[in-house]
Amino acid sequence: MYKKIKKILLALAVLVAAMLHSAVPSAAQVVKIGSKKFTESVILGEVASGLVRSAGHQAVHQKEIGGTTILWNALLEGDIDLYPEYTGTLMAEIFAGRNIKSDAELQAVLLEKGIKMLRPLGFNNTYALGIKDSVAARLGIKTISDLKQHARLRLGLSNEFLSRKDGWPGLKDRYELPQTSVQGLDHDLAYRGLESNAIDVIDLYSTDAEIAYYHLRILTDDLNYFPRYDAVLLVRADLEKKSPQAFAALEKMSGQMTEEKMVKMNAASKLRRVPENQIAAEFLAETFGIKQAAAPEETMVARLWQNTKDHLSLVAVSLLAAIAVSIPLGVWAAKSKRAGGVILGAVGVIQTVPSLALLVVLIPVAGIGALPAMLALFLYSLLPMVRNTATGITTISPALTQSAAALGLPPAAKLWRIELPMALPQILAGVKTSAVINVGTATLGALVGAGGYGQPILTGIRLDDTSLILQGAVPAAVLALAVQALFGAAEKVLVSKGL
Amino acid sequence: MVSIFKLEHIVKHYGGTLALDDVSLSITAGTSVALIGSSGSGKSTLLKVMLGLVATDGGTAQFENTVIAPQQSLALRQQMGYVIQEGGLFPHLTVSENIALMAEHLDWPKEKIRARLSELFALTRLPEHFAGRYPKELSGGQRQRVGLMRALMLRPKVLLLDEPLGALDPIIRADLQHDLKEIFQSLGATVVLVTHDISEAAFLAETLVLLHEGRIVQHGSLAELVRSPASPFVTRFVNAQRSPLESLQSPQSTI
Ligand SMILES: Nc1ncnc2c1ncn2[C@@H]1O[C@H](COP(=O)(O)OP(=O)(O)O)[C@@H](O)[C@H]1O
Ligand SMILES: [Mg+2]
Repeated sequence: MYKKIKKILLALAVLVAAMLHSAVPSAAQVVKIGSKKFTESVILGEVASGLVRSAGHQAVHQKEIGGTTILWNALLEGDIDLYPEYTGTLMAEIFAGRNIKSDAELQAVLLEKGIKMLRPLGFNNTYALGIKDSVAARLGIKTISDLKQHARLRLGLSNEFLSRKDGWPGLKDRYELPQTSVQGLDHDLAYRGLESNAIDVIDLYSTDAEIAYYHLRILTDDLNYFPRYDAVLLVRADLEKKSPQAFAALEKMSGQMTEEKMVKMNAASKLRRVPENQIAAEFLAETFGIKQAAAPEETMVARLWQNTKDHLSLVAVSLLAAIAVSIPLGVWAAKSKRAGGVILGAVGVIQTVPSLALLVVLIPVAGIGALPAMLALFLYSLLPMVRNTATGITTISPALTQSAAALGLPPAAKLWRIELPMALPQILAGVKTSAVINVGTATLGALVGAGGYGQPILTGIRLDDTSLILQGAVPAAVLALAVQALFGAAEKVLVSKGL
Repeated sequence: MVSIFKLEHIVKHYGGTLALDDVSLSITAGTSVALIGSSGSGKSTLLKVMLGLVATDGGTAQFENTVIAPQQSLALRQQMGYVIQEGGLFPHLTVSENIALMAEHLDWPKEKIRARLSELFALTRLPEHFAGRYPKELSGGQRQRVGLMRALMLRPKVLLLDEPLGALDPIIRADLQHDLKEIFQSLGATVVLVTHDISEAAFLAETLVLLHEGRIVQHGSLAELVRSPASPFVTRFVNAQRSPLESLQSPQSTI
């Protein structure tokens, strides 16, 4: 019996080593592009990828990985070579408190960190006020200042815009706007309200897809009230030396975009569900005359299979590694009261760290991709297994441990032949708990570019596409049930019939 | 006369409880001794000192002129067989796995193990087809026999039994008492038996050692304990355990 367990453990160790090996990406000369988890960023990432490829380089696009913090850290660590960002975000978030005023200053601080900010792409995605084109034409409104002449216009503003200091309160003061009908409402509902003429003016992001769809006019910010959110490419300075052609190709993107073009591309994705790579290909063809072989469209089955492989490897590697660590830790905790307090305290604390925070913290250590996700899952798996191993051993009756000792069985043999087999039902229950939690938590891996069932969920949320969300959520639930069944079967095989 | 166990001035505390208070005892090889006394008097603790399962707070304990120290007593323990109530069997191992555990650990050849198992099944009168059962599939008496087999597997020099029959009903208990006596006689090994039943002690052992509150009150045969008690406690202990038939003859007996 214990030889069987030894064999299984050995096989598991080999498997973990093999999977970890395959999980570490090879260090070939590929340009790695990142993008944030919203449509515009993904499209820009695709365009940049196309340009890199046109220069004869390989490009890997890590789509929709999390938000600003994750991408910024990944760029600093060299896990990606470039990603699209906005000047306003750099000034207000990444370098908040440094009081950076101009793009030149921004360029200087970025360069200190080894990052080049290429010249702006040509559009500004900032807060703006929008009004139906037909209404604007009728009233002759072009700028925000023009609103002063129309005090009876009704404003429907998003709640966030209403409360932000750089939102409505400041805007009203700067332009001395006279409107009294101001409602707070949900951003998505605002477009509907405008359509049904319940309100006349709304706030929006200047490249929202809906601007084209609802035929809206953006009012010019003639007093320059809103901060600029010029889209730029942030590129690691070392790329220029490593792959000068790729760098030169990326520079071609500067100045080629306009708000109007971006709105159209966003609309193509969000409203017409055109795949981002196709949108990018059209843009590259029109703007640069670059012709690319259209990537074959992935079938749903192929995508599901890929996600399943990614998800399974995330869960399997992290779980196997955690088993290999937790069981010895649990044994140690059971044998020494003092060590037990420290160990259980530590793994308990890990459990309380929010998963997103843990992922961000792990990026400097593990980069982006499967590795940080596996590390996070590994850390979360520890508690149930360590705790169950420890209690499984400490709850063995003292009469039996004394019997084992009285036989003259040395401690190691006692552990293998008596304590671990007797604690096995509890240990397996801990492994099962960890596995099921892992299957669910692994969906967050998509936030750091690890793929898996989180990928369609993330894309589905971004595109407001329920069927896509279900393509991730349903298999994840099925996998959780399968894992549960698998451990039920494992218990029957591994646990002694005498228990 | 070779003394196989030699205990001198043994003291053992459990926190504030004094479990053994200056106990000296010498046991001759090949003899059988019963430790008797009421619950909590220190019988089990004394047995564990002999096995090297607990560290003492004073005095010396020797097995065949080797000092028994809990850290280094693994080899010593393999020369002793220990049986506790219900046999102390490991629930996840079958009957034969329980019995052969140590032999396997010591890499006995399979043939040797099989032969020894057969001998033991015969000796303890348990049918061999029980070999593949798990402890939970056995009766209390059967478990006790398996516990005894496990203790005897390595042909120990001494057999230490802690209330081996404590959990059995009277008829099975009587059966086992007879079987135990036969086994002890056929083995010729040294036996130290803990029981609180004075008639069982007298039936199975040549010498009785009466403990009270961690001290040895008297050491001798049952006849000596009855005829020349070392203290009033000895008389009280002996009288408290009269047989039920005796109380039929003298209904006014005081208890
Ligand atoms: N592990 C232990 N921890 C604390 N006290 C103990 C322990 N084992 C025994 N004792 C105490 O030591 C005394 C002697 O116990 P023991 O040797 O088991 O007596 P007996 O076997 O004669 O009933 C009792 O008071 C008992 O409560
Ligand atoms: Mg006792």
